[in-house]
This record gives sequence, structure tokens and C-alpha cells, in this order.
Amino acid sequence: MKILIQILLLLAILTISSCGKYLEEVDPNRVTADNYFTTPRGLQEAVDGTYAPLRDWIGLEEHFTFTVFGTDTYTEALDESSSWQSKQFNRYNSDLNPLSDRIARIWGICYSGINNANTVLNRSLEVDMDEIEKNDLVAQAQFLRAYYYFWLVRTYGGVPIKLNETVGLELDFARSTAEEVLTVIIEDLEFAAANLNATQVDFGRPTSWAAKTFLSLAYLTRGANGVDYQRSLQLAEDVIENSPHMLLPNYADLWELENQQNSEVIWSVQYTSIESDNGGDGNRGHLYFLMEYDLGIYHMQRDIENGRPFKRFKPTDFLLNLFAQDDPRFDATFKTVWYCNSEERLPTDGSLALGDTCIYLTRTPLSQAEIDSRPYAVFNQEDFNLQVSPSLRKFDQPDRLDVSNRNGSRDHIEFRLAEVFLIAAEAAFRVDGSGLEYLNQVRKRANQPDLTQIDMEVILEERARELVGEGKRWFDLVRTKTLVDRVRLYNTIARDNIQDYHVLRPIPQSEIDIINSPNFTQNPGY
Amino acid sequence: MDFKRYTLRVNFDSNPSEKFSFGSSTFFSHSNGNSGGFGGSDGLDQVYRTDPLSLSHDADGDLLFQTSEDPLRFNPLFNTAKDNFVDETLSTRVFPSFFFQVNLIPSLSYKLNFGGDIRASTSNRFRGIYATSQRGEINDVEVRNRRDLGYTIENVINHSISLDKHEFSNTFLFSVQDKSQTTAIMSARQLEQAPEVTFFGINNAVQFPVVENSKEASQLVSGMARMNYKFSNRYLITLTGRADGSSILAEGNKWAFFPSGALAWNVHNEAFFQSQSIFSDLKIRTSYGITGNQAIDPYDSQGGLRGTNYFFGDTNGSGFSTANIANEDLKWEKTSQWDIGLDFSFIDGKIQTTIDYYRSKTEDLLFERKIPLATGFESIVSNIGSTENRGLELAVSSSLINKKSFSWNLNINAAYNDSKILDLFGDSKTDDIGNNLFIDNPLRVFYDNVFLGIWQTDEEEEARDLGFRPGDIKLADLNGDGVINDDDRQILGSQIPRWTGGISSNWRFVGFDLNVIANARIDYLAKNEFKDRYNTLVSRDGNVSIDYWTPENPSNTAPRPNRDDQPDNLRVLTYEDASFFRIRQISLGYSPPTDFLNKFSVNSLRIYVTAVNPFLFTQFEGIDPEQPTFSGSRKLAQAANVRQFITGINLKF
Repeated sequence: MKILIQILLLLAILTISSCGKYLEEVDPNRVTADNYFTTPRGLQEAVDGTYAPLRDWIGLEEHFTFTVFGTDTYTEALDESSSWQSKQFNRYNSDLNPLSDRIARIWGICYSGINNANTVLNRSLEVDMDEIEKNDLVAQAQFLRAYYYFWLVRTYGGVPIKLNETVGLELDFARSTAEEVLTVIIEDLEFAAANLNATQVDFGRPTSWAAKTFLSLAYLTRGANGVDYQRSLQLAEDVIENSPHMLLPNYADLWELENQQNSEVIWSVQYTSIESDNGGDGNRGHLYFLMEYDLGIYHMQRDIENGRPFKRFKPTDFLLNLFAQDDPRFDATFKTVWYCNSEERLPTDGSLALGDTCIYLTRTPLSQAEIDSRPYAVFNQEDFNLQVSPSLRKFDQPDRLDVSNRNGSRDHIEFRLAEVFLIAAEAAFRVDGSGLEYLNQVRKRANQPDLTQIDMEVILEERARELVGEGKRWFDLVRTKTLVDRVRLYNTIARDNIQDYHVLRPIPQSEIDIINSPNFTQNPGY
Repeated sequence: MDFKRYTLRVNFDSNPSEKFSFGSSTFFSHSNGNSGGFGGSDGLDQVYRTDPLSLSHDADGDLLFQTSEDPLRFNPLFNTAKDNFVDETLSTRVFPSFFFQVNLIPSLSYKLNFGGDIRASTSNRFRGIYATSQRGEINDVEVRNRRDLGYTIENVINHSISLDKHEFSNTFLFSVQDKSQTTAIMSARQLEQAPEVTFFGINNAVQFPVVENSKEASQLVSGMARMNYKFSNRYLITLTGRADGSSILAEGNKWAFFPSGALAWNVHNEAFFQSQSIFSDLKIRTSYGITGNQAIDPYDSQGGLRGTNYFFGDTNGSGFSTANIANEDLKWEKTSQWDIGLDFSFIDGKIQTTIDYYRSKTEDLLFERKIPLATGFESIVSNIGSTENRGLELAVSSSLINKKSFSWNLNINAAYNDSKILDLFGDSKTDDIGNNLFIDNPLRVFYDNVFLGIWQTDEEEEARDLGFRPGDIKLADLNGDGVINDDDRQILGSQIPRWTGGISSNWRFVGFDLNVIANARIDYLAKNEFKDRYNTLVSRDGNVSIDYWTPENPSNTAPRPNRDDQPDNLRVLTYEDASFFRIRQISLGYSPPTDFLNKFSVNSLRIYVTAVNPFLFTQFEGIDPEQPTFSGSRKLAQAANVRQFITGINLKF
């Protein structure tokens, strides 16, 4: 009996001591940063992984809401999303608060991208590969990190600067100043400009020219003193004179779907035409800027070519009036004519046939008698309203599979050569009041006469004409400290509520709640 | 919509000699169900959002896919066609179990238990172009194959000794448990040959958004020793020690020790007790023990990478990024509980009562904790703090009347529970607002602004000072600073009920029997998810029927609707008192007398009719006050508590 118990005890001890191996947990589904990112292949994939967060908001509604909306050039049209409230970004009312939708989302995506870049930088120290190749990879990560921080600082102001990979729990964060963040950005971009290849095999990876362009804009934004503006001008001139990029002779060619990899594009966020490769719906810009053309009263129906109108954004009169009658950029940017496309919706009196004009938004006003005499709908600019206004055609996607499809294959152009000229003009103006020749280069491409005098007003006006809908305006106005004044002058809906503190968006409430620190406070006014 | 299931159970027991016995019980089941036709959560969503002016058929009587000019409203009736919607699950499951017992000597026995759970299931999901979720765009197919394999092996040794008035009985256990699950998912879009060819021609599709193969496995090893000692059938002591090791927790923290001890006194066996006649049984007991919890997902303690998606022009640029932060400190959650109880019965055992008072403290609570987004991540599973639970439980079971032709049994149970968080991350003063955790409050509470009513027209000035208009929702300015914002939030109430209880009553009269079961939960809040989603007060959508404010109808319960803009702060209308009393089951049966039955060689017969969930008394306006708070569309697709009427026959011969 005693022996029996002793044997059982022995067995028990033996089995328990071999348990260690049995309880070892190995996840078969994933590799870890430790064993994979320290190889050359792994580092490459870590860098590729740093691009992915871009597609989580660039080209989606929030991208446009945060940059195009609530400015002197764009105001609200009829609708707002059923899943999130966006009109407060145009109205600047009390709905624009720390609990606003998408405020936390953009913050979270940018920091997730920043962590990916930090991981690359951290792990690259252990990777054994050719120095030049490694530096190009690391430079790509730094370019992207700068991009994410650039979005953060221009949207929220001073934010926490985090340059280390997150490996354990971290709770303490303090807000740095906007200048400090811009300094980090500039440092990252200086490295990138020096170490990125001048050409990249894969289109969509930044080249050293892209880094210089971005750096030029970053210096312009920081504008700490004359030196910053000097440097900005220097870099812009370098890109203009020495890079392989050229302005396309025809403005409209920039928006040809087959021609997305043209010589004017310096860097773009990539999308493809196969929906499942876009990680979502791709570039949705083709949805938001369209007016409601598909109504029976216009004898039109919705089709693939004319797009699926989400009717979110409407150009202001100020923007429409900025274009001279002979400026080709107007017709390349705006759609003002729709052709009848529906057999069944044609009027019964036979006054219209397929392919005739069905809707006409006219630039030169027509008299009432003229309007009545035409069988199709005519709108003078004074009649434009929430439902009727020129639609943006830059992002059209006539290659979608279906009428309701939201998929967009168009790359989002972040930097193109025309903007470099405009940056040079602004920087030169800041340095010594010059810059006209750069401004006029942009105008020349658009067959516009040279300007003879330069000031911030004409610079902003030229930017407005050239870069409609490209995600620049709100940031441009804040950088030049003209947001509040210009919105009050030109945005009839926003003028009532906009306040001086609206030059920054609120910090997400969830972050304020979780980071319990006196160094982490909300932006004033919110 | 249909469901078929076949089951088979095979049992055998064998006792070849006094010392040995073994046996097996195996359960097979095979089921095949198709829940199509309802449209799932998307079809229901369309039903609720469609406005009453829409049309489901056109003038010729054909179904209209778009029910109005609203481009996002589709006809849920399209989901009822098999060509548009298939949601089928085929599942085969086997539960083998086996035991082997040997009685070494009369006082010592060894038993080996083996139990297994093997499952193979396939879920096929098809959404045609005209299913409402596809909006007339492209179709979508998903095939999901899952294999589960689990087993438990237990070694049990029982030992007992009796000497005079001393009785010992001891148990030793060593067990091992393994669970693993493999899931393979393939999904495709734009399958041109659908609906004739769907799941078995999936390779002909154009797009393959998901191709995934994943595995999850976990193991648990346990050892336990328990000693029971009884003296003279009056004084009892139990001591237990248990050690468990779980693979899910971090390296170095996998093992934990859980002891417990209990004392009891059978007062009714005492000499002095025999002289009284009120109580027929009385037992006083107390116990203290520690238990553990490791119910988190496998691999949570490790930080792995996940694949990312990008393209450079036409070149694939997929890569990897870190999926979550590793938590190398993840350890067992431990609860230590102290309990004192009284079991007694009186009137000759006709009324039996149990009362318990308990107090427990949970430490190293396992929680998915939200962390600053600035880390690049949203949350991490960690041990966050400690909570305390105190409560009282009462159970009474009584046989009130027991005569030949009429009897009445009544069982009542009631429980009171008070729970609160003691500290978070070692700090007993700081709340964690971001995770909704507040010291001295229950683990799950609602924290938000306070709803006072609706601003009326005569309050226009006061409203304007705070930035509102008549018709807007009125929130309390708790800190009196003249601004309504997040600083005016407070704890609105607990999501955990304070009182729970149930009643079950059984009457028998001659051959008839009537059984009623009811339960209640009192004093807690729940979010009316249905109202949250379908009370938008925007002219575009169908809306929950609600008394909304207009200048002519100065309601104080819901704000002024708008054409294209949701009213602010609608969420504060969704917190409701979810206390309820529900009659779970009423069952009426009849059993003819046995001598009558014996004529037909029948031993017993009972015919019955049962109503399940016939009545619910509550002020909660949501789908069901007991609804779990899932996130996403699942919570709305659950049918409200189903009422059933069942009738059947029990026959023994």
C-alpha cells in the first residue's frame, strides 16, 4: 500500500515536471517582429507595411471633409453621411467637438503608421544588408513618418512626439509644440532627401525629389524665420530645375485615368482597379463632389459614367468666379453639362433625344426667356443651390463595374510639380517679396496672362484655381493665417459660427480621457 | 429557412469483476441548417429604415428592388429568394467519452476518465447581387471550414478510511485538457455563374478578398488534492489544494495555486437538538477559497505581426506590421471568496431553506484595456485591478401541500449583490474614464451626460445661453460652468442588476399538473440598442415610434426632428431601466391513472402543453432586457425573446 502510494506520487511529480513543454504557447498564425523584421526581406516588408495606413483615410470622405470643406472655396451641398456627421466641419458649430466622428480615427491611423515607421527604424539597426539599400528603405519609412506627423500637426497642433517602437504598455504622453513636431518632420525629411534613390523602380515609393518637395512645404509651414523660407525656396528651385518632372502641357491630361503615372506627379498614394486589392473602397473622391443629376425631372438617370452622386460638397461662388472665361482649368475641373442618358425618362413630347443636353449650368447668365425656350434644364450661377452646382470631374471613375459601386482606382496625387511652383512663389514672397516668375509659370500652362504684382492674395487665388479638391485648401488657409477671415468673406454657411480657435481641430476625447496627465490638454475653445 | 438534426447516443457499461469496471458513452450529432430567407441583420436593417411611403411592388405586381428614390433603400423581400441568400451550416460532432475504474483495495480506487469533443463544420454563405447587402452591385460567397479537436484526460484517486467516529475521504486528481480549432476561410466576389454554381465553383470568381487559414490552441494542466474529515457525522472539515497551469498566460505566470477550506456543523445530529421540534435539519457552514480565471484568447500575451495591403502601380506591395503589443506580465485572475451559510428545514422537512452570505475579492482582473492611440494600438489585454463582491443568497424549496390528490411545491430563490472596483493598477483613487472604470462602482456602468428633458419654447433664453434652441435635448450643467460638455458627465447607473430571483411553482391535482417558472432582475440599466440605431429623427429613414417635440406638441421625451441633420445628443435617450419580471414557462400536463394505462402495457403516459416565455413585465423599451451587449450588427439580428408553444407526449413502456 505504501509502495503503491509512493509510486503514484513519483509518477505525478514526473508528469508535472514535464508539463513545461506542454504549456508552451507558439502562435502558428503569425511571426513576430523579433524573428522576422531583423532580416532584409522582413525589413522590406516592414517598410511596405508602413504604407498601408495611408489607404485608411486618404481618398475617403474624411480626407476631403478635413481639407476641402469649411473653406472659402468649398461649402456643403445637400447630404451628409448616414453613418457619421460631417456638416459640422463646414458649419463650425458646437457639433465640432472632441467627440466628433473621425477626429479620433485620423489620430489613431496616423499614430499606427508612426509606430510602423518607428519599428522599421528600430529593427533596421540589427539588419545585415547593403548600406545604400538599407538607407533607402529606412528613408522611405522616415518619409512616411514625416507624412503622418505632418497630418497630425496641421490638424491638431502640437501632438506627442513618439520616435520609439511600442513594445510594452505606455501611458504617459505629453503634447509637444507644433514647432517641435515640425522640427522632427524636417529632420526626417532631410535624411530622406539625402538617402532616397533619385528614381524608384516601384511607382508610389517616394524619390529624393519627393522628399525635397515635401521638405520644401514643411519649411514653408514651419516658417519660423527667414531661414526657413530661404530653405523652402532653395529646395523648390532644386526640384523645378533639376528633377525629371515636367508640367503637363494640358491641364486636363493630369486627370486621364490611363495616365496616372505621368511626369508631373511627384508622389501619390496608390490605389488599384481591383477592389479586393484596395483594402476597402479605394479612392472615393468620385462620389462626394457630384450634384444630384439623376432625377426624373431632368430626364436623367444614374449611370456609371456620370457617377454616383453623394452630394456632399459644393463650390462657393468665390471659387467659381475666380476662373477667367478662357481658363482651361475650369472645364477640366468642373462638369457643367449633362447629356441625356435615359430612353425611358425622355419627355413624351419628343423635345429631347438621347445624347442631347439635359442639364446645363451656365457661366454667363441667360435671361428667363432664353431659359424657358430651351427644352432642357438651365441654371444660372445665381440659381445654384444645395442640389445644383458644378460637379468636380477630376476624380471621375467611369471604369467602375456598376452604377452603385464605390470603388475607385485613382491614385491620390499628393505632390505634383505645379504645387512646387506655388510653394516657390510663396516662399520667395516671404523672403523678399519676389516670386512672380513661379506664379506665372503655373498661369502660362493654363494660358493665362502673367501677373505683374504679387501678394498673398494672388498666391492663394492661384492655388485655389490650380488645386481644387486636391486636399490642400484648409491647410493652405491655416498656414497663411487667413482661414477665419476668408471663410467669413466667402463661405455663406460657415461665416456665422467660425471662431479664431477653429484653426485647430479638437483632440479626441478618448485620448484626453485615457491620458491622465496635466501636460495633455485640449485645444483652446473646445 | 430549415434545420435538420440527427443524433445518436451509444452507452455501454461493463463490470467484469468486483475490482474492474469500464464503460463508454458516445454522442454523435449531425445537423444541417439554412437560416436564409430572413436577410440577416442587413435585411432587418432595411425593414426598419424604409419609410412607409415606399413601395415593395410595382404596378404590375413585380418586386421592386429599390423601394423609393432613396438610393440606399432596397427591398428585403429579395432576401427570401434562395437565388439571393443562403446561410447554411453543416456540422458533425462527436463526443466520445470513456472511463475505466479499478478498486485496488476497498478503500482506494482509481478512475481514468477520457472525454473528447470533435467537430467538423462548414458554413456556406452566399449573397446574390440582389440581396440587400449587395445593393445590386456584385455577389459575394464565403466558405468557412472549421475543425475543432478537444480532449480532457482525468486521473482520479479516491481514498476513504473509517475509524470509530472518524471518517476520512480524500480525492486526488491530475488532469490535462487540450483544445484546438482550425479555421479555413475563403471568400470570393463576382462569381459570374452564381446562383447555379456557388460554393463548389468558387474558384471561378474574379476577386478573392479573403483567403485565410488560422489555428488556435490552448492547454490546461491541473492537479488537485482534497481531504474530507467528518467526526461523528456532526463536525465536518474539507481542505483542498489545487494547482493549474494554463498555456494562455505569459511565460513565468502560467501556474497558480488555489487552496480552499470549509467547516460545517450538522447541528441536527447533536443530542441537544433532538428535543426541539421546530427544525428538522440545521447545518451551519463556512468556507474560504481561491479560484482562478484565465478566460482570454490564446496568444494574447504575445505580439505578432499581421499582413498589410498596398500596391505600387501594378506591383504588389503587401507587407507586415505589428498587430498587438505583447503583454509579458499576463497572469491568472484570482478570486478569493469567504462564505457563511445556513441550511435548515422545518415542519418535518417540508420547507427547506438555504441562506448564504458571501464576500469575494477578485484581483488581477483580466480586462481588455483601452490604451492611448498615440502608442499606435487601441487596446491590450492585461490584469488591471481588483474588485469586490458582497451578497446574500436565499433559496427556499417547500412542499406545502402533499396529499394524495393534491400537492403544491413552491421554490423561491433570491439573490442580492453589491459589487465595486477597489483599485485600478494599484491605485485606489484614480478612475479610468477612458475604459469606463470608476473606483467604488460596479465593473460595468454607464457614464454620460444627464438627460433632463427637452428645451421648451418658454425656455428659449436660458437655452440660448448654453448654446441650444427649443426642441433640443436638455442636458444638465453639472459643474455649473455655463457650458455643456464632457465635464458634465456622471455615472448614470450600473449594468449589473442588484437583485435577481426566481420562482417555480408546481401543482398537481388528480392527474393534472401545472408548472409555472418565473424570474426577475431588478435595478440595473441597459442601453436600448434598437433605439440607438433606429431613432435618428432624420427625415430620410424610417424611425422608432416616438413622441417628438414640435412647437405645437411640446414633448419632453424626444427632440425636434430635422430634415438632414441628426439632433444632438440622441444617445442620452437610450439608457433605460431594464428591471423585469418574466414568466419563463407555463406547463400544463395530464397523466391518466396507472391502472388504466397498465391495460395497454404502458407504464406511464403524460400529455402536456407548454408555453415558453409567455409574459414579460418591464419598462425597458428595447428588444429584450436580458440582451447581451454584443457590438455590431449581431445585437439587432437576434430575434426578440422567442415565444414558443410546445405540445408533447411522454410515454414509457
